[in-house]
Amino acid sequence: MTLTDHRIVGTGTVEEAGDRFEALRAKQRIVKVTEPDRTYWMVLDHDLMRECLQNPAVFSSEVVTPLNPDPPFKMIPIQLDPPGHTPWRQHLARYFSPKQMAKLRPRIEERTRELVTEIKEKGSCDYLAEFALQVPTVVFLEVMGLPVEELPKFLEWEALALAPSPDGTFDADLQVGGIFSVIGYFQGELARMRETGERGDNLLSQMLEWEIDGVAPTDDELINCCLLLFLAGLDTVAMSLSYSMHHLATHEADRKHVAATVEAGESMDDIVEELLRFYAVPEIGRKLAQDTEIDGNQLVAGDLILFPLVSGNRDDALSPGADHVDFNRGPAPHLGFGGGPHRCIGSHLARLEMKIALQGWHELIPDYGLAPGAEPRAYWGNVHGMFGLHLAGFGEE
Amino acid sequence: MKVAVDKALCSGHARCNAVDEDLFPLDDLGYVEFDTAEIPAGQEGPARRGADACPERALSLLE
Repeated sequence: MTLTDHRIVGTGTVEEAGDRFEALRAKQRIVKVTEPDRTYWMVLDHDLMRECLQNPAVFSSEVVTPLNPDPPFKMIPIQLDPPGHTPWRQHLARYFSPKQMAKLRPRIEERTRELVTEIKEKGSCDYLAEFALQVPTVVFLEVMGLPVEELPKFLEWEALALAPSPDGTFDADLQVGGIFSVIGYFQGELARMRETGERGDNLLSQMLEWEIDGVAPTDDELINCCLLLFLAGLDTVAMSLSYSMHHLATHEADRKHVAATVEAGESMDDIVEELLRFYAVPEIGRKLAQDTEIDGNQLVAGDLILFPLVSGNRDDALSPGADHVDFNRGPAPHLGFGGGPHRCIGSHLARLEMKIALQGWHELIPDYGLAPGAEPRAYWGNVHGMFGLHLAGFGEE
Repeated sequence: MKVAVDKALCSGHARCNAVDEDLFPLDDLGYVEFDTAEIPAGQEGPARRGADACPERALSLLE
């Protein structure tokens, strides 16, 4: 059967972003989708999703979204398949390993405290703009080794590159403008560091010392890699935080559980893991490198496949009762960060940011709700997002 | 009891390490350090939980 009424890109309620797949998954593991502008296969089931993502020889990353089936250039290393992918991955992994994360903790805690203190004094906020987008951008500058004074500039470029129009689509001219600004900035920084020989304990300057298969990468390749880190690490974290906070603002028992956990000084791990599972925001794509058959469907080399990660994450085969949030669920080895060789390299950083952000918020603002009359609207595409998240009901009212 | 890692599948989620960092040590890249390791007596519970936490199903326990 072919589905004609599903759309990768759209807008709706916050709940719909993840609920759209429930009825479909009950019927099949994989379905062919025909939209007016594109055709692709959509994988809905947890086990099948994992098997496909673990098999880059068949499911190639040459394409990473059905929205862009003929990319004009390759993002490094997300669009490289093994073996070309491997050395890049190994260089980057050092900077994003669990051990490295401890170094970033103080900076994230400090920024979280500053932001939440300001917000508490105001008594209301747009959580997305005033908190969720700020934290990962500060962290990005820190990892790269860039001065925090660059924050306003990067926030501006991020808005151009990653904020959609009211219908959930993106204005290509605005996007290109934001992306070219980022490229220009990194071009200048890398050239300056090459010239001065400046090296520090940061990703940007250390990149100049890398070798890939015995050869130093070109500046274009390094800039490409920096751009990927910029595009992949900012709105994903911001939206994961916003979906989590929307959930807590609208589910009193869960909000109380989080506040009690924070007050008792207990681990945030299970809370963050469950929110990441249930509200996994990315929908990732692959391209068939060879013909293959799945459940009686003939997939042909060149076909595009979409993996809405949230669909696999809400599959009962992963964990019974996967269709609701349960902070006492226990381990559910979900694919919220993808799977296979391209597992999100920022997963450890994202978890750390989520833990600190939720903990720091609830320490100062344990109780809150949606601002009256401001029902948030969601959009979806490569990443599930929100246009804003107005919270109130706290502070000196 | 032993635990074995399928190195072709481990992609550095580090969820096993989050369960027990002593049983599941990581290398500098954040991937599991060993191919197979002996589980000390009395540590079977965390070993099983660590193996069950792997999103890639890369860990198996050998009795």
